[in-house]
Amino acid sequence: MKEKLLQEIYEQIEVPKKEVRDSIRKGILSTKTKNNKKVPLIKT
Amino acid sequence: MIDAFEELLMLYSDQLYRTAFLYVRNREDALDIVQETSYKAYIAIRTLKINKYFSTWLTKILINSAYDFLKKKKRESPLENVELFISRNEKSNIEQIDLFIAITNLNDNYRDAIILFYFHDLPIKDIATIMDIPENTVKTYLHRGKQLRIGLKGGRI
Repeated sequence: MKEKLLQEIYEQIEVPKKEVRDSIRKGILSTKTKNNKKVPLIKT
Repeated sequence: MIDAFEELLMLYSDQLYRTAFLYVRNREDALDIVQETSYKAYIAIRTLKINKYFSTWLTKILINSAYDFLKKKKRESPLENVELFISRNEKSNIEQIDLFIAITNLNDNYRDAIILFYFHDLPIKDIATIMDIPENTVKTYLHRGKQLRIGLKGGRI
């Protein structure tokens, strides 16, 4: 990072870890269908 | 294959989400963009010829997905979402709030260049690749971005 202020702003964007993982998984799994919005999440 | 790819994307998950958030300024839409990016990346992974460019390649997909999303939505995300984000962070100060809003309101090219340079810490060459423009144009965007002071009193970048 080149600027402390910008780094702080970026890091203050709270990341919902579980939801992001679910989104990544949904995206990958939906490659097996035509509509990537209709794939249910796999419960782990 | 899916598990391995998922784990690979998870290495970039924070960066993917935060960058998406800078474009759409709300959580649900940012998650949609992360999903769309994962989908497109998995389908197109075989087109990536040099592994060391994975991060650059993935970022390019993310930004394109964000613009596709915004085009479909055809409306600005309300600023209330930014305030919601900010209100959760006690460390935020007025200067950061102004800067965050200013960045998200920038012209597309300036915003892309500033996000990639300052947040992703990418070199000019990689930014040029992602944006499909010459390196000198990236420098111009960054320079003008600084000159614009992006709506922040005293301009800190």
